[in-house]
Amino acid sequence: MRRPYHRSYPKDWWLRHPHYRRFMLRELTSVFVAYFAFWTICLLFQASRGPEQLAAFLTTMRKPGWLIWHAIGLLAVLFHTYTWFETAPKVLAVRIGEKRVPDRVIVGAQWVAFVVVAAVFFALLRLAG
Amino acid sequence: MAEETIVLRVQRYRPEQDSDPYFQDYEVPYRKDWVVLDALNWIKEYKDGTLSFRWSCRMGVCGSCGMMVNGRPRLTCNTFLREFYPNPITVEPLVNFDIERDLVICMDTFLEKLKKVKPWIIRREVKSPEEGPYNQTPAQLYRYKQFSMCINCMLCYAACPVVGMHPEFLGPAALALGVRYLLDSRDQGWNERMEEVGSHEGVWGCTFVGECSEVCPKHVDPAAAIQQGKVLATLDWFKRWLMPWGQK
Repeated sequence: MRRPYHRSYPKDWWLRHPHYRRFMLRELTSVFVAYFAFWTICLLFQASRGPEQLAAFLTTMRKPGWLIWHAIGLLAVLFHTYTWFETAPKVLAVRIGEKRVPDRVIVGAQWVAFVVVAAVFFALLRLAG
Repeated sequence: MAEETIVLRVQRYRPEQDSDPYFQDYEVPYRKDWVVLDALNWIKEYKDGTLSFRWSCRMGVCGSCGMMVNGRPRLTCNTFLREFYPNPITVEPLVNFDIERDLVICMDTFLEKLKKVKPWIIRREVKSPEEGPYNQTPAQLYRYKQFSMCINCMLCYAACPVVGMHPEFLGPAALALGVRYLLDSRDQGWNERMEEVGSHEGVWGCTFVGECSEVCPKHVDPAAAIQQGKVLATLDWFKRWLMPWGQK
């Protein structure tokens, strides 16, 4: 006699293994990526309203509450970046002839690009005064 | 000297008499070179002949003996008792599948999904044996070889939360095989296979938890296959809409 037993999937599945918790953290930290994109739009909007509005906005942003919030955000975004770079070799299977480019090379190349882009960005900021 | 023993907490379900599964403890002799499957076979031989489970090759090739060992999907033929001794070991049927009996799961859903990706070479122009084989260079072989090592043990289905929450998701093993054939230079079934692989129930159902690759005993890396499948599906979409005349 066949009488298959059906089990429902536990709602707390993501608490049941460190790998699942890490996955949830990776996904949740992406919210901060969207947040900083939104924040940049706010910054540009204030800049478009004139130097006084921009200065007022930046003064607000230097308040401890905002600084702490953005420090947390920065950590979250850096963690998200790290997880994203780590998973990239699975998406990019780069082959040279019969050999596959090692994962470390792909991950390393992204960090190099990250540092170069960041350096150029900060250099431009300095130039702009 | 008294013989060393270890306790196996085994989930039981006998459809003709049990309304729900329950756990039964068995005390089993502990041997350093025994795997969980050896212990289960010892129980069946000496303690309880009614215990049901699947197994065949005992060497990690057939993919029959996958079970949850202390909550993790494992092949019981390469999971040693010594990894857990002296603590008890809990053995359950693979999650994300219905239970047929004791540790035996219903494979019907998996087999249906496997069929959908057409895991065989599709040819429009078929060669006769006299015309010789479909040749392939080593470079062409290496594009898909890793994804062809799957033994259909279904550990990846038990590890995947998406399979658990959305049963219609084709799942890691079937999609890895689908991508394996998409990447095979001998195959000519791109369009019909991409319909399944590139669908919402296909690669786009995957949220890239990546646990399928962690538990895979054959290092197939289904998560990689699926992400590469997403790249293929995206390129395919662009080709279809931007160059409708360029269809294969």
